[in-house]
Amino acid sequence: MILQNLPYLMRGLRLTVLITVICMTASLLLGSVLALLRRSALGPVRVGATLYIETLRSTPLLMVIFWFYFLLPLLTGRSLEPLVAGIVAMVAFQSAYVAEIVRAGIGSVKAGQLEAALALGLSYRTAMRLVVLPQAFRNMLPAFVARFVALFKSTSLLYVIGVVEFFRAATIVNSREFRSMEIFLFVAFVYFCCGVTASVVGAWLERTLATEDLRLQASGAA
Amino acid sequence: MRATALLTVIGLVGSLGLGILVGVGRTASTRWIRWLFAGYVEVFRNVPLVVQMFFWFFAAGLGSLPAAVIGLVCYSAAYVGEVVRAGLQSMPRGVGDAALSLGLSPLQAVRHVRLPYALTITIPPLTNEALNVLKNTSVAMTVAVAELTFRTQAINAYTFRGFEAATAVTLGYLGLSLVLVLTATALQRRFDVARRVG
Repeated sequence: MILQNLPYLMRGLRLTVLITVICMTASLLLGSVLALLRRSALGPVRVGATLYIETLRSTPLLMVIFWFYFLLPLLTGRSLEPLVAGIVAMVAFQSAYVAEIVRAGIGSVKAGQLEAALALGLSYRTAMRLVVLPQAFRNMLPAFVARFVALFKSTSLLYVIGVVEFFRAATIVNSREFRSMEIFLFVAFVYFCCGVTASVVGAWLERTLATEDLRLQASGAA
Repeated sequence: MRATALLTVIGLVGSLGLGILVGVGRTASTRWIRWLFAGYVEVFRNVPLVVQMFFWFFAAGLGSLPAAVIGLVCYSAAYVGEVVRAGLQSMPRGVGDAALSLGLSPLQAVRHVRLPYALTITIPPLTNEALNVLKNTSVAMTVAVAELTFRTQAINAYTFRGFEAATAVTLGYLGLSLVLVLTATALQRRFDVARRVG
């Protein structure tokens, strides 16, 4: 029964993966910008960014999805693909969390690093880009992996606005076949495998980057 | 909103209880007990909450409320378990050994010495988990009113009502989060004072 519906389910899974990748990329960018805005010297910018981050972090994702699904058609004045509304909502939501990770990551780099870079004559922007952010990124990696898995799992919530991703595809098959036990165990198994794979890859990435760091130190280059 | 508050409270109490069990289990000295609970954590953390709730509702055939509660508790307990484990492991080894050498049984040592310590220092991360439980109650709605959502979404999508309802609900969640955060801060302050005085 699972085998018969496999092509259909796999189409859903492909969309799930696609959504995850798009949202992760976009929220990494937007989240980094938000984190920098939160450190801005301008008061209003700082307050605005803080307000945005805290509001979205204390709202359930499901509500954010509904919000964008209802709000975006009002703003643009025309109907919107659920998929687009869903992706926008996920990015808006995830980037608030990413911003906090980036902020903590930047905080984890010692102040002396930035001061040294500035003293060497680099501009603030160049110092951030070449000195602080690369170091911060390595410290942020574990948190990013956790976020990636969370994002992957949370795409299943998009089914409420009718995006036929993996989970929605499964519920559709379920209402056709009435073999709930098999279907939902299969779905759980697939999510589990993907999540564990992502965690393992993340751990490997961490190890690789850490050894690179050690190698540099050993050769005296760091 | 009352349903949300109720579900949050049940979810909190349940996942704290089960989470403590999981956390203690993961630091047990017997290997298969450790593996059992590690397996529990990995399984329940890596499967989306909706999927778990649908499993309990459709596959296990539970009613919508029991399915939501069980799904929420099992899911959150995996996270709480990890927090409790971290708390237990952050304790210097000597404290636990001291309790054992004073003649307490391993269970007594956990109950009277190690757990109070672990729970006190993990109040901030546990607050985070509590907030997550609150937010995750919203997923329960998908089980309870799954049918209704699908039918009304098309009608609601392009009217003001849907938007306004979503806004009101969001504000409600913000209010409830605030209550939780304030409670947690008060707790934290009280225990810090207790530690300094004691």
